[in-house]
Amino acid sequence: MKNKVKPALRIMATVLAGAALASGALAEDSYDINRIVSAGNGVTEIIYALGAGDRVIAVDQTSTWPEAVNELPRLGYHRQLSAEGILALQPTLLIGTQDMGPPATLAQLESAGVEVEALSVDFSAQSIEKQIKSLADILDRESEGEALWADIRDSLDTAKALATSYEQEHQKKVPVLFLLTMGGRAPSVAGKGTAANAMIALAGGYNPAADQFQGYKTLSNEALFLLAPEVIVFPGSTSNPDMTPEKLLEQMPTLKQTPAGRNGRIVAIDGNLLLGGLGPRTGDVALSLAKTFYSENGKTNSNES
Amino acid sequence: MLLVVLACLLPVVMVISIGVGAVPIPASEILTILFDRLGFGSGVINDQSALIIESIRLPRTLLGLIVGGSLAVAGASMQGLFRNPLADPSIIGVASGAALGAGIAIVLGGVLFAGMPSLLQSYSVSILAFAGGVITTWLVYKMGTGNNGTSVATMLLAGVAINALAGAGMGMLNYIADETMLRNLTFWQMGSLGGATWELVLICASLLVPVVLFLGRYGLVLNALLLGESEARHLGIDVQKVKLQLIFLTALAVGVSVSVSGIIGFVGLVVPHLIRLAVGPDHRILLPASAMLGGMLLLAADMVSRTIVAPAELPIGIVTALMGAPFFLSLLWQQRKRIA
Repeated sequence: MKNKVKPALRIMATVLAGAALASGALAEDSYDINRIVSAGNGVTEIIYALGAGDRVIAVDQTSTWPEAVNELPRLGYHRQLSAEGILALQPTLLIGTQDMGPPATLAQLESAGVEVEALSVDFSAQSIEKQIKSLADILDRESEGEALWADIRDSLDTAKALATSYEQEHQKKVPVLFLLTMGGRAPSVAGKGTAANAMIALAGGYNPAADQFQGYKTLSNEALFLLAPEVIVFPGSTSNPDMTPEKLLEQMPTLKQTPAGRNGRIVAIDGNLLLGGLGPRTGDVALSLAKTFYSENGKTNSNES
Repeated sequence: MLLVVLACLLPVVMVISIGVGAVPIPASEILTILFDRLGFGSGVINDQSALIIESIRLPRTLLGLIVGGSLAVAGASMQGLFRNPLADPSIIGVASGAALGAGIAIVLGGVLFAGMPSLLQSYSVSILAFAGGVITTWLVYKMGTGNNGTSVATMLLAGVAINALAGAGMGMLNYIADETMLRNLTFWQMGSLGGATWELVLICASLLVPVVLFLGRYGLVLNALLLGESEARHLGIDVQKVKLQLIFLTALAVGVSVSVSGIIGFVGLVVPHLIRLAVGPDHRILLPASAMLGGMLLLAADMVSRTIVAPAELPIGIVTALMGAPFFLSLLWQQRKRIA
């Protein structure tokens, strides 16, 4: 992974790199960014947010935003990339996350002269910052990158401030659950290590399920009551416009017995935001979620992202 | 006759398979490149095409040929051994056992293989899939074997039970898997030849080509078994020994195939039926013909798999099931009319 190096430090970094036999990536100075293939929702969104969307010639399955990417050829799932399919598009650069694969495909692409950049990504705000910096550096759009991160950081800071003032007043955070529902069956709840959990945390909420399990697990109604969520978030909004909070309650009447159901604090967010990791819209979403978590009268409302 | 036709078609299908893909390469260019690499070429070579052929399509075509051939021969042998036209390697548990092994490697591999050499880690899915297939087959075989030799009916029943058990194990793994592992599991179960590298082709060829050749020598024995076990015994065949050998060889063929390409259904079931419809049930022809047709069919399926949704790839197991199942149904329909 290539880090952005401030001009003043660049010479020193180069010397150090040479001395310490640092990775070849550092020594690599410029990328051919004429034809970019992007394999990751977050990566795609950042490339567009940095204004380099016109260089993108194909995206993976999870990239659905902005609108323009839906016109591009689809590579399929980013762990099952097809070397030949990508080569046929004659790209100069493939950017994705460390989840990209299979390794055989990446090796074949590299031997065919396509540069492959796999950014390491996790569910943290630092990871968004790092991704933006790396991509801004690769795309030679450092100032746009700084502006973009400043925006996101502001939103995240505001969200955090809302949460902190609430916490000081009430001596607790708001317990929030993220539910995945499938046709009226028992809902799956997001635990630790999920994008949904990260989003709740960035919005200043507390996910009681994260203390209990990893990933998504199906919970019985009793377990749901025990977790006593004051707010319930579910994928709806633009990703699933038919699913309204009212309909969710209708499908799962037992939710009405939770504090969130009683007070009508059920919020829809765009599920696509969570599919491919965090990205440039994370700040806005976290802030608007924080506003719904910490508004006193907090009535049911849909979050427009 | 059929064997000659198939043997002539095989190289044609291979060249087509090397030519078809997201990047189109004309047959003349393929031959130029292949001849050049074999040492007697003179034509001008396009580097991009050469790279695609050498490092992507040629290994993939060879792998498809080997895997398809092995699956079909294994299917034909099973159907002969069980004297059951529905017998398929999945029935005696090889496929589900292999799936369970692969599932364990995908979901728990990080823990199980921690600290092992990286070569072992990168092949952990294949190794455990193979082990799973062989272990379940052995279990089914042991269950079906008593003092009076191996009962085919008991083996089939045991196979059903073991399949259910392996299914429960998979369900358990699905439950504890995270999202990425789930996607990997699903994709693995749908099969793919996309992982083909020269290394893999060499490993596969060195294991599967001998197995297929060995299986090919059981034509007469399987013909005798078709008459019934006691009849075969009277013809001087050591039935128990033959059963053990056949089960071992098919388990090896299917286990290795599944471990490199995931689960590819219907090839083992449909191909022998097709051949039988064309030339009857003589295993001396059935076995080699199945091997060739199986390879060709899998190559055809792979061509569809890598072009139909380009630049992405449709898992090949979906293609073989989509092509195989309706075809099989139509065959059944015709036969039904003939009987009525």
